[in-house]
Amino acid sequence: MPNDITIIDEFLLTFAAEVGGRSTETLSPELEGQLQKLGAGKLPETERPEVCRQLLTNESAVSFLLAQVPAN
Amino acid sequence: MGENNAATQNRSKEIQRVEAALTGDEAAAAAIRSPQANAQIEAILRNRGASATEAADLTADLWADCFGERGGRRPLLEKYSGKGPLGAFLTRTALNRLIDFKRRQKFRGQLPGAADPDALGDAFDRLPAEPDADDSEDRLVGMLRKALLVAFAKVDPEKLAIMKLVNIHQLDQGQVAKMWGWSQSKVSRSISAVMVGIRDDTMAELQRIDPWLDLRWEDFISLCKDSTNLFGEPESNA
Repeated sequence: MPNDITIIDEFLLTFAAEVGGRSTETLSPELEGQLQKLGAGKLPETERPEVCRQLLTNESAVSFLLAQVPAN
Repeated sequence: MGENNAATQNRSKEIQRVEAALTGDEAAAAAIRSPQANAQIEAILRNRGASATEAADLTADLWADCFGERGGRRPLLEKYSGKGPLGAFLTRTALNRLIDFKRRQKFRGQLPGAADPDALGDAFDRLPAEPDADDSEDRLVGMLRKALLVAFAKVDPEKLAIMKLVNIHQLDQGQVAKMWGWSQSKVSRSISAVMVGIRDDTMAELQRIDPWLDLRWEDFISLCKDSTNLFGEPESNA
């Protein structure tokens, strides 16, 4: 199943779906702060839905979050 | 590495064979239109909801369109780019035609004198043509994409983001668990539930769009993969 979602993601990217759209908008300082908090496990539950919507539509938000997470 | 080389060599041979067939090489055409290829395409169509007659007629039409101009359309094989296996290209085209046929068949009752359900050719010929339709791609991609969009829209954004962080961006489940303040098993269960939901809702939407189409999830994934390989353009990050 994990491999299935990679195939689906590539398909949707290739055929330009809106799901998980790949905009690379500049992040606002507020969103950067929220992503830093999420990476540290300190983002309030009430703020998560909006931050998650940003993660699904803005590739820059994903990259920023991944940079916050220490490598295992 | 070895597998990639073998695939590239096979693809290269297939392109050469297609080019030869299009310039009139009978042996090359016969190799493409082999009894095995014919049986495979017919079987795939039957397994996806076509009757034996429909599968045979659609496959015969497919072969007829492969090598020569018909009805003002260029030979179908001219569209084969070599990005994926020729067999996948032909199968997809046949499936598109099956989808097209079944959708048009739904309206057959509105046509005067279209009473015989077995008269495939007659009924088919009376239906309005779609002159600009690219039967190698459009309907199948559109259908797969639409079903996925409906399924994704039903998923809670937070759970969808978690699933993507783990399954696509390769974050460890333990790291995500710390970020969300969840147990790792809760993260794991959430991801599994999202995947099952996407699968079930996608299949349900496909059934709603085309109730006659008999696709399994494995088929769906395979069609997505073939679509990306055969027709996708490299993504531009510019």
